[in-house]
Amino acid sequence: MVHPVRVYEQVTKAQFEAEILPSNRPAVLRGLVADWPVVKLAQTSPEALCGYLKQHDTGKPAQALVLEAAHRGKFYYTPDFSGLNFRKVDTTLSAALDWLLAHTDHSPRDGQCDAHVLQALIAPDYCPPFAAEHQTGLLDPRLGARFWIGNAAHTQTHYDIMDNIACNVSGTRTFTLFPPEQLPNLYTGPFDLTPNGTPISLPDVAAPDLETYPRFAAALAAAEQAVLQPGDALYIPYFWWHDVRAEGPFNMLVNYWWRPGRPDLAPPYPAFYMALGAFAHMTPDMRASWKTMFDHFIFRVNGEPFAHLPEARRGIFGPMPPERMPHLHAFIFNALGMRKRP
Amino acid sequence: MSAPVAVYEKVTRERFIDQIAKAGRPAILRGLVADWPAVEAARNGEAALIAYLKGCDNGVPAEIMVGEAAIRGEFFYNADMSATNFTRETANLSATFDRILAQRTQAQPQAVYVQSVSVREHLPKFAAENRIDFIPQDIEPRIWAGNPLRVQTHYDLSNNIAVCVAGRRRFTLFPPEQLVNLYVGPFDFTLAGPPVSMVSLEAPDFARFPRFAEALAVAGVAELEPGDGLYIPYGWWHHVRTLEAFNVLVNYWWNEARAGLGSPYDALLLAILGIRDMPPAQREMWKVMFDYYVFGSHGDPVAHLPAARQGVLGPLTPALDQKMRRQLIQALVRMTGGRP
Repeated sequence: MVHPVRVYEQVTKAQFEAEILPSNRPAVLRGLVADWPVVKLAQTSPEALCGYLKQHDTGKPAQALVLEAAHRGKFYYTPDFSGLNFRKVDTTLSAALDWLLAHTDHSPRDGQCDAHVLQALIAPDYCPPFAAEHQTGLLDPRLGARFWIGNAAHTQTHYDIMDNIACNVSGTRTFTLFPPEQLPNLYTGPFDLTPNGTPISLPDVAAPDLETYPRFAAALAAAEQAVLQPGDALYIPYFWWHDVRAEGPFNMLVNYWWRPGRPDLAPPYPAFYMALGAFAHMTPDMRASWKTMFDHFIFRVNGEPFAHLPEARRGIFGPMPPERMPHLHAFIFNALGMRKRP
Repeated sequence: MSAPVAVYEKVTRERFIDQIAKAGRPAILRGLVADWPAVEAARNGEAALIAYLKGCDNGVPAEIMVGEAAIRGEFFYNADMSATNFTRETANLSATFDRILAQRTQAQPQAVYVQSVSVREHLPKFAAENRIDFIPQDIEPRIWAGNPLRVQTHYDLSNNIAVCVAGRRRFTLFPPEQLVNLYVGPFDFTLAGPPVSMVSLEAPDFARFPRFAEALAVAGVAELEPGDGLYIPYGWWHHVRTLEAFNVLVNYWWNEARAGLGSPYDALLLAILGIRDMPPAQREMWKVMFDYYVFGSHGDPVAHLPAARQGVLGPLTPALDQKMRRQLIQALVRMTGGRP
């Protein structure tokens, strides 16, 4: 019922840059990393893959997310939303791998054991030789890889403000993706308490409660799904919401994040939070005035808002050269009643 | 070319709150302060009014705006926008009232403007003797006095009740959504606070500013006589022209926005730095976020969450304010490379 994500085979860097990236749509890159050493090891056995990782483990501390068996692998909130349903446990890569290997006969999905996951470990910190032996051929080779390792865990629909290539190494992983404009149909959770940094969508993709979340049916109708086998990769564009389910007894994914477009710009969240604080509780008429301002000056729905002024006279709405940024930072901190340290 | 502004007579507190403010549109409040002693004095002529004002003046100097005859009363930028076409002076108000009226007989009259001066701080007796009973005492009256002048189309981030004490004043009003047709000038180099429309109201250059015709088509015009009031809602753009040799207005600004958490302009500035210059497709995704969460375009974005988890979008508490501020500061610290 959910549309499949389009599939590319034997994708080249030229094709990725000319065709896939500018489209702003997800794409399965079938077999992109099928020849990776870790993929070959995974196809031998989880033990073989873990042997490689443990051999190179630097011993750097890591944090595992641990979810009790009763939750059947679904990382989420407590029923009253007063907290999260999982805990963070200090461990190491090798210790976590040993725990997972000892539990491959059980699945959290069936409520037989806890879900254990390591998320977004920075590869060079935990496995220094990894980058030399594993490249996608599509990205800047200096871009750091991250490891996602665990048993059959389910990460609820969320977004990242990054472009993403996710390479599946071990196990089967199902991604369900929603375009950014589906936001009103996703019934998003709190900003101030999130499982993993960004808000999540509350309905369950596999068993949605459409009585509580009726508009989610429209989101599902616009969703796309991809099932990755070892060696497959997925391109997830900036801001596409995604639900991730790992299916195997031992799952590993390697991903690469990068800021697309204008990484030199200031991050967007301060503007978003400031706007929430400044506008969310205004009267509807006042808020409508500010929506007009943002649509015109920031989102440029009417084109360049200062075409009628010479560039030199557009002030802060003119081009923003990097050397002006520190001055503006000081301005912003002053506005918040904070002094910039000398 | 323009739409009439609704006229209300005998406005009471209830009528203002229940009908006028709720309508969210400008309204003429005819005769609202017709019984003010200052308006009574104005009826007896300019000399009588100036004598009354001098009797209220505590002598504290105020800032005034002065333009040379060549600007013909139109406060604006100079031709290349490198400066304003007027200067600011610090002056005694009583002397300034005389100076305003004296321009009537000058061959080369200056434009002289007492702009937005606190009545309580400079004319305390005026504040005590001229009140509007339904305006709360904590809302401060401000006085505006000048000869024939034109104040370029601008907006204020406040609701406004303005009352004409002397002379006549013509307001031309544009709804906030006309922004796109007003050709707005710079934000960080303004004439007096808010940005202004770059288009002359009286001699618009339609070749340069073709969309201004659309703004004019929906503009409202309100002409105030002594004793009349005008309600200008938050964010409505307005051009002001004084029509007599000596014009006095008093206004009251108030704001229903919650204080704290930074100003709308800070949000706009941060959005310039972080969002405006994104590639259009990426910027469009943030527009989705702003429309949904910030502007509530799809209704209440947290209706499905318990109140305690609605965060800044839910019921406001001091603890939440603190938390929001911390979150914002952390985001800013990350943005500036970890050094606040």
